[in-house]
Amino acid sequence: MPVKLRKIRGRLLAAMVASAAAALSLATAAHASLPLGFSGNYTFGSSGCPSNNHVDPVNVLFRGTQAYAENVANQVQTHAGWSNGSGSTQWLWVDTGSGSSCRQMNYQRASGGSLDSRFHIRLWWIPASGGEHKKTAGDAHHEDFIWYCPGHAVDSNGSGGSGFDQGRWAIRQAFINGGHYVDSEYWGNTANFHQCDGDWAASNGNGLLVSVYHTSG
Amino acid sequence: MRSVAGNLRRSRRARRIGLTAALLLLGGVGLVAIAGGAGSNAASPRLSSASADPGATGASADESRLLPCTPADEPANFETFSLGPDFSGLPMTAALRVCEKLHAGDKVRANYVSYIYGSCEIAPPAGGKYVDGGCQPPLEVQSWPSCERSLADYTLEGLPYPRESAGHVGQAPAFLFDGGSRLEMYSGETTIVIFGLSEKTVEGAAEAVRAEPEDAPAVETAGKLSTSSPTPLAAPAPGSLGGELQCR
Repeated sequence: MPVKLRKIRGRLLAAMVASAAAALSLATAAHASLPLGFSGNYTFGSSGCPSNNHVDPVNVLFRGTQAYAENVANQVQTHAGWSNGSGSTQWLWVDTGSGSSCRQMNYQRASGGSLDSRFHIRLWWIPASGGEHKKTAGDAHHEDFIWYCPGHAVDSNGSGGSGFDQGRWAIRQAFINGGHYVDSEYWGNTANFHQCDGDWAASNGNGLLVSVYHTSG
Repeated sequence: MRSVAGNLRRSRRARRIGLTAALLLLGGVGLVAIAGGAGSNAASPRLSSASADPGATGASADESRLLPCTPADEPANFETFSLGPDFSGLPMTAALRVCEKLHAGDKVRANYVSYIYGSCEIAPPAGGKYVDGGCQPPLEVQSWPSCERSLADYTLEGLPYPRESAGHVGQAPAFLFDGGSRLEMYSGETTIVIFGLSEKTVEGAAEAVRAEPEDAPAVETAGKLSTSSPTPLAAPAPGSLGGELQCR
């Protein structure tokens, strides 16, 4: 009997240690891949989200009862007038509720076509969110079409702000004008990105929080 | 340098042991559920001010508290740091002086000197014809005035931004952010921000930073960067960690 009890105690202890180890592992994984909690803080240019393939900083979070990706895309179109859906595919680590997953964007909206200089945002639904607290993340920016690349380059850093800052400011103004509550935080994701025209572009690290509580414009 | 590295490692080891012990204690009371929710931010939307933003049409009055922007060919008005002409086989490939106006609604503006090490390749996406976006170099060291960017500035949906103490480098406290891809040190009146592709890279770089001469232009070619030994980092200026340091 004492031996059996010791075995049961041993199994319980092992289960607790395993539980704690699993928790530690999960917590580490969540922090390792989801710096922003709801998502990673940079997008990726290829599936699988390899660490050496960052492309854009995440700089906007839409949240609220109607902040699902399709509605956010519609709201961007309504308030900012960005109605074009062209652009390359990107990926982002997002919170699934049971961990993190590298997911392809759900929608994108731009103020011009693939051969235009334009404002552009890609949108990712955050699967872990729902109910009152739906969330969609975005990477707003302004990009110029550079004929000799050929392709898009995000506007370089300068006294008037980089293309990442300009895109975030444009979203901010459009949604304020549309009557949405908008707030800002500082996330600090200010890494520089080399662009195809030879310039450098970085976000100034601010993150925009946009409330979305309705479906119509 | 060896002792600095040792300090960083010892300090982090002690912290990790403490964290592990705490998690073991909590393991039997449902920590898995907590960890599972760690990535899902449960904070509700903050509605702390009016929805019509009073700063929507102009820069904040806070701009008067900022340092004046200095040009790239003049010394910056705050201490700057680099890794010298090269680091761990990566040559310094670009130096940037970035200083923008504070825009309405932004908490912090860009005001820093950056040294970039190594290069990256921009290519069209698979199957695509056009380039669409840039690439991140392997290593970057940014120096910001700590009166404009400090540990106290970071929040995430109204909560403290996740970070992990990484001990000290010299007397400067160091913190890891973003899964170890960003390390910040707070030395004197400068916030040193290091971006890299791995925790190992940014920690190695943290122990190798050196101050650039005060009278040197902010943007230097690699050949003119300091080749001195890594600088013993000073303790943060009073108030700088808490965001209370005034620009002067």
